[in-house]
Amino acid sequence: MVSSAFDGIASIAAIWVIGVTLLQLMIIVSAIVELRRIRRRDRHQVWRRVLASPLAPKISVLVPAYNEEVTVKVTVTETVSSLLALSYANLEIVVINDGSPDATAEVLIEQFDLHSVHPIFQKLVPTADVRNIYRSSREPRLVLIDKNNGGKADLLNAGLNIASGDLVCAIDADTLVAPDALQQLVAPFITRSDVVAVGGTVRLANDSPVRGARVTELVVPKKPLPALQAVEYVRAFIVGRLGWNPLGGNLIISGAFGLFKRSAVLEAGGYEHSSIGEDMELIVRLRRRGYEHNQPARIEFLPDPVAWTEAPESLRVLARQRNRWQRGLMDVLIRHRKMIFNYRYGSAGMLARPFFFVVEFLSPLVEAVSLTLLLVGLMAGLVDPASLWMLGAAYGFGAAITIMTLWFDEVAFRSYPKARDRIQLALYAIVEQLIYRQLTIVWRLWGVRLFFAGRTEWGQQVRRGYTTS
Amino acid sequence: MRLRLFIISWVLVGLMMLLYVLWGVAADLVTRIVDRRRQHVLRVLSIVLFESDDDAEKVHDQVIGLPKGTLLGVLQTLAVDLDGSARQRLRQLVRTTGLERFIIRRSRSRNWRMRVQAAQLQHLVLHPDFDRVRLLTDKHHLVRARTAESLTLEQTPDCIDELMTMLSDMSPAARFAAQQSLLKAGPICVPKLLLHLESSDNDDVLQALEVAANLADPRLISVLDTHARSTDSKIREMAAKALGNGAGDDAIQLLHRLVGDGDAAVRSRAIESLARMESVTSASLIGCHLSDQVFHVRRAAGLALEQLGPAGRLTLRRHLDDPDRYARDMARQVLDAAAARTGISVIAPLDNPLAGLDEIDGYASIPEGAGRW
Repeated sequence: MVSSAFDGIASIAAIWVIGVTLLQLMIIVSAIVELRRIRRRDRHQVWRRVLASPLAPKISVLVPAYNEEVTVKVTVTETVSSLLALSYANLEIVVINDGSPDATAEVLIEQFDLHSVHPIFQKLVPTADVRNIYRSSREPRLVLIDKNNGGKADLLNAGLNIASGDLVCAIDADTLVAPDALQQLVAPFITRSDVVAVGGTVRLANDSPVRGARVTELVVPKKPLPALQAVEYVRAFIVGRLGWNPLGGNLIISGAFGLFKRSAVLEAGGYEHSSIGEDMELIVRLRRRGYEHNQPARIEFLPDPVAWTEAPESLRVLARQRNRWQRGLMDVLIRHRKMIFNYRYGSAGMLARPFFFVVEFLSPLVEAVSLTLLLVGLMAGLVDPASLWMLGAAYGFGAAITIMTLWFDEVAFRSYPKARDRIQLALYAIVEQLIYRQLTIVWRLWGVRLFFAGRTEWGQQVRRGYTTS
Repeated sequence: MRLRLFIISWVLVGLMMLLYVLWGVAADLVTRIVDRRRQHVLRVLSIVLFESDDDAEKVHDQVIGLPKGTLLGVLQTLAVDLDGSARQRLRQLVRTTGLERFIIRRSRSRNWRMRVQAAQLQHLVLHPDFDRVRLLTDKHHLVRARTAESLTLEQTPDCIDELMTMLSDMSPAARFAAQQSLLKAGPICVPKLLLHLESSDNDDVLQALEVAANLADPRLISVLDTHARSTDSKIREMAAKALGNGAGDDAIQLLHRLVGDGDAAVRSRAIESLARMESVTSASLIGCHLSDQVFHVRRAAGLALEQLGPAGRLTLRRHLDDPDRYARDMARQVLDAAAARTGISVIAPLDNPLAGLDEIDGYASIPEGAGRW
């Protein structure tokens, strides 16, 4: 009796994993259709000339900086330099120092020859006090906001208050933006009036050569941990988001690279201070407001504009990042629980929210419980060892799907030009299923525990800096 | 069954890996061939475009033998940035290689993607059979947009009517491209734009005004009076912006009226225009808006006064002891900002805001009634 119950659990676990894999397959098919549509549409839209025009909407890029003194010269400085070199005419770069206890502001002031100016702005969304605003004597497009500490959402809100652009681009301190990325990202705002946010592709640039604040060639990171994340980024962030585009359920725009209509964000109340997943929360809120106020709020993902960022290289930092993401997801799911299976919210309510609930929230719980019971059952001799074949098959299908997404990435973007890199990635796709996947489950469960314990802090981020040449 | 499923799944993994790697190798090969072909086309084209006539003549046969598809692809990216003699040579090349016929055929294709390609290269075709206007009025919005975008300066005068019509296009992309083309054309389009703006019942007044505002041509001021009285606040705002490009009392009078408009966006735009016109006699009027109910107007007023130089700065100083605390605050902020930027403090002590007036550079040159006291 007990033995058959354990066997049943093993089968349920395997069926669950296969089910999730099939859902991912559906997303891949959707991504293929969407990529074809976008490529056919955008192939003929070269805005290169047009966007050097006074009619182009002004973009304010918000660059957060917190405790970046040690790495500021190789991260924020690189980021700001790469932004200043962007080929977009109407640009403003707003660096926000969130009350760093170290000398982040001083380093930036020295690097860019910044001078204090009296702040003249209106607090359209509440933030911690702004201590000072600096402008560069060399580069009139650069603004530094020095404010009291208030967290990521708070600093982005301060940026929203002070930015003068029609559109705001939120990036991370270590994000490097491709030269033509903003031109491509701004196109949906020009061609449609209902677009409120557009996300671009974020790729990992650990160990990739950087010259003049540009990634010259994408290579697979040397260390296994960032390499595994590179595989994960392709599957979840490129194919996943592209796949959700036509299904109308794109509810995430990476905090590392996204463009928003400033007026829409301000009308929605800016970034939510109390949310740990402020970027996801904002997108869900914008969509929700769109449905509730009967004003279409379109969220788009474009695969071609690229920004590069650094992946955590140590288990400790990665664990912190992943548990924070899990807490953010849970926060958004609970905060906007009204949307789940609510036809009023269209595809976002009927498709995307349930998917996130099942695949992103329930999945690690089910997988963790099943694996634990399976191990216990095997040790106690209650489970037929043949059940392991089933589990192995499930992970096999998972690996096959991941390699399929890598193939899709190769066909569509040819991101990794070296054959050696592609072989490495395919091997990492297998390792991901057998080791990394289980690790992420542990981190997510840790996140669930911390969420219910009411922990909302971010944890310290450690950056190594890019390989400059 | 379970074992079979396991084997199937991992065979699938192997198969996927193989396909992924093999596809990559094949794609590398194709990319290399395409790149080599492209490099060859670029090499030959660089001789045709930038070397002497004799050298260009020598490679003529080579040019004819170049693969059409690659040549078209290269031309599409290259032609946008070429001007002057290089463009003339490119036109000649298009004519002699038979590409001209090819582009004309594509411009008549039923497939809109082909027509877009023709639209991108239309500026290289001088053949009388080529109907540029047809592309500008094409049923597909991207064809219209790309044609408008690729118009050269000498082609624009013949197409201004179509571009004006495109200002009311349903597609934002086409409207944007038309506006951009008109801006690029500059003063040539002013007479037509004037006529267009005179018939104020057009749906596209806002787009036309946006072009007028960015063209900065004083001839356009004459038609702005009607639009400055429009019931649509967006049109009044754009008219206020366009008025800032002019000169003379009429424009200033109109702007003075718009400074008192009921819509805050119009007021702040009018204030900015007055500052752009360096209308020092408007300093007192602008100063009144330091206590405007809307922050953006107060900010615009403060910055405008700062932009007006000594007269504006004096007005700002006078408002340092304004009974309205918002006006006081804004005046202080603007003066602080100026001091931080220039390193010269222009702020008088709070208890005596008029102290040290003579130290302000240019005080003596401020006309009476422009904030001097």
